Amino acid sequence: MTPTSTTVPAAQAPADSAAGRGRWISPKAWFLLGTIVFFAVYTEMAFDLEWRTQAGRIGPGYFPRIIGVLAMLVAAANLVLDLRSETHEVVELEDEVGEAAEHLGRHLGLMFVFVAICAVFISVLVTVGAIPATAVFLLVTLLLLDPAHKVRAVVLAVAVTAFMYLSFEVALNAGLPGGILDHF
Amino acid sequence: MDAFSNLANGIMTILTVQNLLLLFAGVMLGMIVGVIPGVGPSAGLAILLPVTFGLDPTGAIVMLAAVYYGAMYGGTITSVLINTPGESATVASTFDGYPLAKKGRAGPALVMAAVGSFVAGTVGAILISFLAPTMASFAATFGPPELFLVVVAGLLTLIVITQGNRMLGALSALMGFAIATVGIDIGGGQQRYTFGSVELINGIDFIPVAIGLFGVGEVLHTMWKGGHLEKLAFFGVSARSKGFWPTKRDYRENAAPIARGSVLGFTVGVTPGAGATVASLMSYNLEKSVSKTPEKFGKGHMPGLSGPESANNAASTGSLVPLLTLGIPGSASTAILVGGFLMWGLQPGPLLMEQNPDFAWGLIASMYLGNVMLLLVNIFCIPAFASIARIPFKVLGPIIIVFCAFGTYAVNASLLEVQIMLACGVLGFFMRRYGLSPAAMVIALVLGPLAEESLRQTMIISDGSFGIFLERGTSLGIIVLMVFLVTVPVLGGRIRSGISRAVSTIGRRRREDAPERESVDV
Repeated sequence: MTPTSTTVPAAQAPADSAAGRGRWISPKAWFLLGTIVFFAVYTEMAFDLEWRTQAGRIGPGYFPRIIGVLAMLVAAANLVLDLRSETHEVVELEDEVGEAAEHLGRHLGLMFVFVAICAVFISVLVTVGAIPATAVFLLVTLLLLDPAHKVRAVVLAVAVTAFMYLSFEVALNAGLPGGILDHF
Repeated sequence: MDAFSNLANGIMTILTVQNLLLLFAGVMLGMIVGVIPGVGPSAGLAILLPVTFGLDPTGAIVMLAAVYYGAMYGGTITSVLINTPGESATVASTFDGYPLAKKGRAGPALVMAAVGSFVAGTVGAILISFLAPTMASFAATFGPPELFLVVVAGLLTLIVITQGNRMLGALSALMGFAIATVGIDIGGGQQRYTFGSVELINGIDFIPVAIGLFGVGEVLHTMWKGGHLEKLAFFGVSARSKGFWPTKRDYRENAAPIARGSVLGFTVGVTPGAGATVASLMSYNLEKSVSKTPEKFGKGHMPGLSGPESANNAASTGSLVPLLTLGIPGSASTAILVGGFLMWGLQPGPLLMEQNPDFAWGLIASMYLGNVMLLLVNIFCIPAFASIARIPFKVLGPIIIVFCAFGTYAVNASLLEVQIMLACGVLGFFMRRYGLSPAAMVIALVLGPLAEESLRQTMIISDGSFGIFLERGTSLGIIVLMVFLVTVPVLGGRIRSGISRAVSTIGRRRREDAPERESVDV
């Protein structure tokens, strides 16, 4: 991926509205903070594992301890760099949607709704069954992303589900979960 | 010579109806993966890997390798026609490719890019035929200390060469190592980070992680950027139209950039971590620097397209050298191939070529044939593939998610792995958003167990002394290389300016010589 960096002055950072409420902490800093917490728990668990075995060989905790401590240090260093930075660097890796992408806005809310639908789809994959769950998932997400084309969404949901069934179940014998269809 | 007889055996291995069909399927799928913006070769390989589960290893690697280098061909089509790279290695192709389409020269640009890709792919296949056995026989002398150092050096290269923040690259690699520690400890059999789950005893498989990071992560990132609202401005292209084929002058003008791109790309590709994207951007800069008419670059100058196109194809072939000879992946795509080796029951490493010659030489032989297929498919099916690029993201996004979910489930019939895939998809989105490297994470995940095992063996050999790394000549050499890699960022500016000064001098001399030669010709 080719990173292109756009530099947003801290003063113009999205939390301008937060001016006067103290220094703005970038989402990246929150992400790094979460990473440090994750690795702190990881390292704490690593210290419950042996560093060396009774035979004097490398124990199960040897690698995890090194990884955990190093990761916390590297994440903390990144966090300090981010907090100290006068500018908030937004690294955008490869602009897949072309020049117009900048004008299309950012759609974090939609993305999270999509992730939530994906989570529901995956959680019912076994109980409801791969085929019915896929058809409903496709219909809902296609309508979410393109509400103007309802007929197209229905046709695609049915056609793609049939194609998936033929590819994975008939051709590859993947053993997809039958779910409610097993009762018929 | 051994190389010739091994290559002949490799050709015989792949000349079965099944393998030829798999090669053709790989070529076509690679083209499709390449033309779909937002689905790079890594995502394509990760999604398609489970499909190869029931195949024999040779057929599987022939198909997946064809997907890998086929994606490099396909990515050019969208770069030229809609100014949107199908994947990162074809970013440089937009610089002059799209202006060429605007000038009405989309046909010649795409044909010339295909010819350049074919030449580079074939040059790469020839070079790998001779380089891989030499490197493999040298690597066969490696013991556990050298293997451990090679793994560390490979990751170090990836972090040093990675564009953007190197500290974030290191953090990404450590995340991969951390995930690799989940499961049973290979030394003593104790469980680590399994939380009592039976499914986690065997560790976290790399397939759900790779599919999540590259497949789901890409979809989420494109959606966040508004890909579902995008309206594509598209240049049409038809093989029957007048001016579809390049002229003789085009061929003459592009011969040298294709040759330079092929050699440069292969060299960069062999270096772990550098990859096709770096190769194509380096080639573009090189062509601009040595050109007699640098002012034409960026305005639709064909050498600005043919050079990078050749470089990215040669690099994708070159990156298979460390994979086949050391078992070390140099990029996210080759990391997925290493995972494939393990899935098919093969042990990646220096002995792979010796113990599985049919597999290794079948792969190398398939590149010759695959490149011929790609050239023909490219030239005669450009309009058909161009039409795939017109499918909007709002339709493709949900379908890709279903493919990812089914592909992940198909491997072990595990719902937990599908959940891990989604979690990694969200993680992949944030990693891309904040400049971390999903590629480094996947490579570290694949290499983690190898690093741990080789260090454990080293410590057993040396009775727990790290001095062993300094006592062996080869390992000492690798340590010197690692020290050099660490100092590259410090000296990088000087090295870069030195190289660009030298290249600019060559370009200036060429420009000064050109009028003199013209006057002599007259």
